[in-house]
Amino acid sequence: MPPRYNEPIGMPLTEQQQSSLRAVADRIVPADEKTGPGAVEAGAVEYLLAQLSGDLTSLRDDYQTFLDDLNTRAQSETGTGFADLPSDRQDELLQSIAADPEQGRFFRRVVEHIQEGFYISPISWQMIGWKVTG
Amino acid sequence: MAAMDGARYDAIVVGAGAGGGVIAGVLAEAGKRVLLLERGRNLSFKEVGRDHLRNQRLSQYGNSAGPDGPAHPRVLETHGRSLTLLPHEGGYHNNAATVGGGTRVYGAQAWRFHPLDFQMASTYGVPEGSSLADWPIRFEDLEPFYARAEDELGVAGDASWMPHLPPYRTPYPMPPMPMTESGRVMQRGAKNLGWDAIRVPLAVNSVPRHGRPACINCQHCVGFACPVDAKNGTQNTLIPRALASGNCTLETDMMAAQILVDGSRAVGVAYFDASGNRIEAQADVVVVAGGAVESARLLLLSGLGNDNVGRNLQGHYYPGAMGRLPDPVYDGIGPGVTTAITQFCHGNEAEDGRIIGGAMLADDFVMLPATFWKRALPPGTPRWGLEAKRWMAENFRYCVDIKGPVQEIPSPDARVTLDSDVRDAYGLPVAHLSGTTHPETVRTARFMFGKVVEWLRGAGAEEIWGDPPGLYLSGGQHQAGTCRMGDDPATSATDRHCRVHGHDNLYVGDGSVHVTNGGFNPFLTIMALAYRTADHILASW
Repeated sequence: MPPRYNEPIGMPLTEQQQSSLRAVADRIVPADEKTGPGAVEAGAVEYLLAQLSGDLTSLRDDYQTFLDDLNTRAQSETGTGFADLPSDRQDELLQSIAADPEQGRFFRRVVEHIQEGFYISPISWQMIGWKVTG
Repeated sequence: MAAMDGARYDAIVVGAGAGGGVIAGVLAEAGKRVLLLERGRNLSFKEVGRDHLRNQRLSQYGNSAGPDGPAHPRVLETHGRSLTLLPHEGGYHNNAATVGGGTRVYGAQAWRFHPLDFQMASTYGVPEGSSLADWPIRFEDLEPFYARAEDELGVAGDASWMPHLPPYRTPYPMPPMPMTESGRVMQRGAKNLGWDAIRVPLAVNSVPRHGRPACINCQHCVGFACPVDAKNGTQNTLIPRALASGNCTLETDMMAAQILVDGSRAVGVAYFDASGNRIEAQADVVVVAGGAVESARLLLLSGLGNDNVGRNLQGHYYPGAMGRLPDPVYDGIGPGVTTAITQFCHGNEAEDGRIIGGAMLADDFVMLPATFWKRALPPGTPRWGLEAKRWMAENFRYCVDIKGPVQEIPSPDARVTLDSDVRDAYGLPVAHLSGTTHPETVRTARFMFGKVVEWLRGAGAEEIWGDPPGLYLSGGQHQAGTCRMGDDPATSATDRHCRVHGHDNLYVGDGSVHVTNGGFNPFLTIMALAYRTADHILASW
């Protein structure tokens, strides 16, 4: 039985915010050859979008602000939106956010939400060898 | 038949969990007309579901077996602040609210308490500030009822090798559940240390029994309902028997509001249906079995019982650690808990003196990946990026989780009262939880943490991580103590027959009556006491 979560009611994020979120999720749990698909392939972004219309509705504004700030910062520092940066630049940017006392706190919540979406997915179960019978 | 306002029964049982289910079953089969009230609903397997973030084990966003949502808040007083909490939030001390109660979704570890668990004060003395006391009854008084619960519910285990207990008069009705690789590794670890490893008794069908199949060893046992109905709780044993007798009316979605009395006699129960209609039912006997928090709350809402009602709230401290073994140990065979050490339940000596009590230690249930991610990573492991992902990929199958329920040293200040401000959806004051366990509990837990580490090391763990617990209020799914038994009303809330002091026909039928909570999972003791209480009710009719 697939994990259950609330269906989205309206879209909680703009398309640009969603594309930033997708890029963030891809750095939180990247796909790689050795361990296979990452958070994006596992559906963690869809999980989080649904949660932003469900249990995490109250965090919508915070998410929008976080993603907008991220994009603005990427634009001002590199002239490119976050989603279009090379992954090592994305990592650097996220690392500096993680080190910031204020922004770091919210980023850690984003990390947990994306990891939740990853570890409730059968894709992660296959990666770690967790089997489901019955 | 449906309950009607003013309807009359022989007995009303509030709460269809471990204790209430047993009492309703025994009374109904003896010909008594029973009204069994349950706050939750009779949840199907599908309704409980398999949500890895909303279950009774990891309640990140909700509880799949209730209660859930804003209708049933509680208040926790901690560090000088009062927090209003929803049922899935930490500190609420939730148990399931559904037919079967916790037994619908539990891990089903079917332990008898140790004989000394009934004699804690006379064995160890009473630490200053604690309310440690002996039970008014002994292991021998409960032994026949343990055997009855094991048989009627259905327990799988090996009664021939339970070296911490007096010999069993009857074997378990079913052989032990299958062994796992991690269990074998921990057995070898025990052997290396010269310790006795034993099989964990589980209320799960290891073979088909009573018309239900054997366990299929899935990975969603503790915290979830069983897909093939092989996990034995009151919802598939005693309660169906009660209903089959034709003498029991089970009413779900009913919130008890008040025990009705005439002088010192309980005469009935007032309760709300799901639409908020207040209903009154009459009875010769009333049994409160809503769990240690809600049973105390109902007595307090009714203005019944002495000052001990609500005090001595306790559960279990759970010192535990993870160990990383050299070879993979995860084989996915559920339920997963197989192997226990019981020789440190009592008789422990530390460098700074005698330890009060102890705990059974065991390997744990199959852990869900999301739970593992949230709770089981070594400190310092990256939380994001490729390194975090690779850690999970490379280590998950090599890890063992060892833990055990430490018998708490009760404090009278660990307490359920009525909150003065917050009310539930029915307008009733909610439970207000305050205080902590006694510091001696922390000392015992730290000692047992050392034993956990020793066992993992003995099994060859290369890396071990975990933290001994600090001081806090414990209760949760093993909640107990708030209506404890005793012969002296000055120090207890109920008598040796689990009757509320001063009321001949008002009984408490859940873990609330435990004086201490043993170094073991408590449900079998709750059930054994419930059988004993039901017999007493019938004998004194």
